[in-house]
Amino acid sequence: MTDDECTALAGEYVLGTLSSADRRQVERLRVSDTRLDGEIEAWEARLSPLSQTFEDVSVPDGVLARIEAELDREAVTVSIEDAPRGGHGRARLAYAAAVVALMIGLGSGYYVRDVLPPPADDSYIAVVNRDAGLPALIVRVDLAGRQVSVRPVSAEKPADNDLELWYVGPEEAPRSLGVIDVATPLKADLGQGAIAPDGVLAVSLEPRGGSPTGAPTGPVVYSGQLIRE
Amino acid sequence: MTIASGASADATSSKVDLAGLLDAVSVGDRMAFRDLYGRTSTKLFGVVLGICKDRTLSEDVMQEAYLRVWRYADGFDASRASPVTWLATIARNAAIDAVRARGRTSPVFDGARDENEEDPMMRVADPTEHPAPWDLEALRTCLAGLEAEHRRCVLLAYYEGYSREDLSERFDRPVGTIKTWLYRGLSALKACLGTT
Repeated sequence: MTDDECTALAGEYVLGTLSSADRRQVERLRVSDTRLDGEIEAWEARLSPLSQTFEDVSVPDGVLARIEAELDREAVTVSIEDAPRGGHGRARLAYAAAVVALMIGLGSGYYVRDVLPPPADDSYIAVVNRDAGLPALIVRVDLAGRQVSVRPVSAEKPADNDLELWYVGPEEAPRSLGVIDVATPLKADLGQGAIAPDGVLAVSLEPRGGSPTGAPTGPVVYSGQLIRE
Repeated sequence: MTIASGASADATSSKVDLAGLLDAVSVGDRMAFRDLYGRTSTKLFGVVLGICKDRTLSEDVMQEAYLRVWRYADGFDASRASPVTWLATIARNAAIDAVRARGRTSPVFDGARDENEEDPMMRVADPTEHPAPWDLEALRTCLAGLEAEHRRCVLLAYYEGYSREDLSERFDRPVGTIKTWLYRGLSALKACLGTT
């Protein structure tokens, strides 16, 4: 991308003329592309005087109440939730896959060495997290034994929901690895199907007992990329 | 003390207040959130309604926008953007995400408006704050220097959330042409603002 193209892409992103897919792509790119990120901020600044030209329109009374009800509902989950609302499970998992690049290399290796038993051959590991803080879960995928080991570290969940662990491969619908318990380590059967080196693990918030549909229905609260051990 | 300096002090203290409210919201202060909503929601509804058109969708987008404000308030940096700009950016993004996700299920345009269309520059020329701040004056001057079609594309996108495809339909030109217009319009705007 030339500088001019970068400026134009950032400008169109800020103006809002791009398609949904292109908007998501720009949002993914800006995370690692400081030039693009800088251009987006520059366009926001250039166009910011226009924010003074909007007319006030009174808002129907119920809107604040709805927002506050949502905040009340989230008060239980706010400490674990960091994924955007709206859209379907697949989109949310795509988001998880996009943000996961951010989370790798944040010093998680330190925990990995400390809290896990020595690795088996041909296994993958993922530090499943939501930000640079303490890992929520550490998950080891043992391909030879077809086993998934889940070690909760700091995962939390609201009382009314369960957390469900998903494997998301490239070009593949999320595959459930089961409902996880935030208090006790868990071993589960990996089931059939391949595990790709660039696969992602994601944890979604689901009704008690897990997703009723077989696909994620709630927001992704944690995610992490599989790394070959 | 003159009236002018008094007004400017008011404007400054109001900006400080919004920034202070955002600061309080970032640590989970619900009272501050309610206060912030009370002071900014009519403006953001103007932003959102302009893009979504539909009132029901706009109300959903308002909910989404203020939830984002609640979640991301700690990302607000007063040294980089004014509170109003930051909030308007969140509202515009939420509105554009919503209309793109919905797709163009209903006709965005009606023929009568095309014949008799209000020049979008009128909005830029009629700021809610008088006299217009210098930065708005500069932007207006630069917008006025764009070719008319390029300017209309930029402003219809900004105020009404037109996508490339919407603009293509509106101007009856291929999407490629619209892309070129936007590219040229934005380039000229950047060059002009760099020199003012």
